[in-house]
Amino acid sequence: MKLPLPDPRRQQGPLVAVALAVVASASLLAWTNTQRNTAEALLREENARLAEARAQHAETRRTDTETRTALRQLSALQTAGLLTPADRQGWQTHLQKLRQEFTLDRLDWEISPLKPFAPDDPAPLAKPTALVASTLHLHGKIAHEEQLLRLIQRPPANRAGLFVPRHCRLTRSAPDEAGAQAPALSIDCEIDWISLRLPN
Amino acid sequence: MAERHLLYLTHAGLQAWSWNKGALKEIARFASDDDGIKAFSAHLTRHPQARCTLVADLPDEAFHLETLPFLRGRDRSQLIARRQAQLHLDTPYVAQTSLGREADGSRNERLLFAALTRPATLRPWLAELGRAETVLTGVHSVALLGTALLRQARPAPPRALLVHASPAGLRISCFEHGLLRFSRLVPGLGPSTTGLWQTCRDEVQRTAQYLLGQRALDRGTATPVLVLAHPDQHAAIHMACPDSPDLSFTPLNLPELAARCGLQTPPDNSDCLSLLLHLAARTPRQPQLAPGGELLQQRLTRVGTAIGIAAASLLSASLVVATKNLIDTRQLHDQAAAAHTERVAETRRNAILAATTPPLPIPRPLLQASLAQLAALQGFSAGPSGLFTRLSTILDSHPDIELQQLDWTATPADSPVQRVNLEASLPTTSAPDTRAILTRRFIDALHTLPDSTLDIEQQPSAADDRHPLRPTDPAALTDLPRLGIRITLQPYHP
Repeated sequence: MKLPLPDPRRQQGPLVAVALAVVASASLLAWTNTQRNTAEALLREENARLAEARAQHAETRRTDTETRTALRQLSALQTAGLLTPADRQGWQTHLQKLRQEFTLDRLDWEISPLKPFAPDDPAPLAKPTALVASTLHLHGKIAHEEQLLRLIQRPPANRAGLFVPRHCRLTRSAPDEAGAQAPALSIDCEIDWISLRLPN
Repeated sequence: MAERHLLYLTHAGLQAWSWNKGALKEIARFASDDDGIKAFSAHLTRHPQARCTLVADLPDEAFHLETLPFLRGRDRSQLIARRQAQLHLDTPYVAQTSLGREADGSRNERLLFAALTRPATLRPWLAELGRAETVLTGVHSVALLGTALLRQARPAPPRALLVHASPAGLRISCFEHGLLRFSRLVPGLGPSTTGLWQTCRDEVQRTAQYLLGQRALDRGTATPVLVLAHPDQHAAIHMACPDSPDLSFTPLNLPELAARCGLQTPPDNSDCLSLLLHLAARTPRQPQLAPGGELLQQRLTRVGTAIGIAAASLLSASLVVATKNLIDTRQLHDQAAAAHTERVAETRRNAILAATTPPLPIPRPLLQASLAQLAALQGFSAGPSGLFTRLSTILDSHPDIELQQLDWTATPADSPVQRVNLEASLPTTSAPDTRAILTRRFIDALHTLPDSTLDIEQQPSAADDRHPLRPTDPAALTDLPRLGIRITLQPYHP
């Protein structure tokens, strides 16, 4: 006796259940994986932003410290008179007075207008600065070194700015036939009167 | 949940019992004629989800003990199939039970072939089961169920006869070390039969004689005979079945054994049917006699169950992974939220700090460069006055040396220095040696300048013994003997 073949529809239930389970599992895993990946990406992004914010805050702290230090230095410079520009008229008066006092007829000079300070050797200090200077170019003949030392000193009544002799050349003149009273030294000097110029 | 049905088959017909966690209930009874078969078919139609187990309690049984060489796997299966074919049982309902190795110590295996030798009794019922596509879990023999029955009657003697009554009759089974060796059903004897136990004694003696002839029992030893009966029959058993040199009768308490086996409704007489059906339902891995084709639905159901379990496992595993993913996602979101909060706070602190930072009148880099340059220039604010004063002192102490030219330069580099090119003349009237001495003294005096480096660029020839004289060189000096010196020294601070 041959038994009838079993109805394959009896397996439909389990197969449908398996298919549903596979689909549900795959969907669930895909969805949760996507959620997790999204959360990971969000965390990475937030961490990067946090690191950026921390770096920015550190930079701001450094800027704040340096700014306050710079302000203290500016205050010190102001106290020292380094924010006051060169007193060209006072300098002129001082030189004229000395020329008259030493009777230096053959002494000449030129006090330049205020201009951005440019050192002779700018390479080590190549960065632009806010320094301004008025340069005295002094040349001519004087009688002796003591006169030169007086001439290259700043006007005694004015302590503002930074007074910096840049270059000075002394040359003994040949003996003059006119006699010993003739000036004995030729000079050629440059002196900067430097200050820091701030915007008004 | 599928219903569990136990189908008890005898020559008289078939009884359908439902089993649920030890509770047995007879639900139908079918005669072994056409009407009974039709009623059974209708019954199956009413219970399409039922899982049926057929328990055959028929007298048409055969038990053959075979000895097989020690084999395993496919070889053993093939040998068993060959031996079974050689037995010419003419029935597909055959089960094999291993009785273990032979007693003589050899590795040969003893195998009991148990068969239901009249398949026609089973076929109509099994055909209906197949037609209704009812799941058949197996075809079991009451004789083989005796093994499970005896297992509960501890302690079981090494060799024993077990006697129990059922609707089909009185069954006498022989067990060897707890395994079935032989069984026979005496039809027509039941708990209600008059003089049951006297007949029982006679049948037991007859069976024992047969088994002694088969050497299944030992001569000269009283074989224990365990009679399963209700306690109210025990006295009758003792009276009807006195011990003999070959047999020792021991009644067993049937309700107590049934309760021990977990049957919820212990029998109230000596009929063991409910206990046998309960054991058939509850005992796993019972030897069953149906060929594979009869259990196709069972296999399909098992496949379906396996598929369902696989699906459930897959779903469970994915649920576990998904739960972990969701927990991780939650933690990641929490961490991201914490990072966001920290970033907002950091940004706020930054904004507050930036707002409180005072402004500078000029850009900071410009200011810093200006301050650095001012600091570098600060060293020269004293000018050359200090140097000139010292040089003047040195020249005053060397009246023979006259300064001709002095070129002073301030260099405000990273290491600010002042450089002096000095040119002096020596007296022409002095002897060369004298000029050399004067030159040396003057240079020694210049060396006393603090932090100075001297570089002699020109000196009178008599003082310079390092250079050769050639025809092109003047024979004698025509001008003032000159001394050229470059001095490099640190700026004097005011």
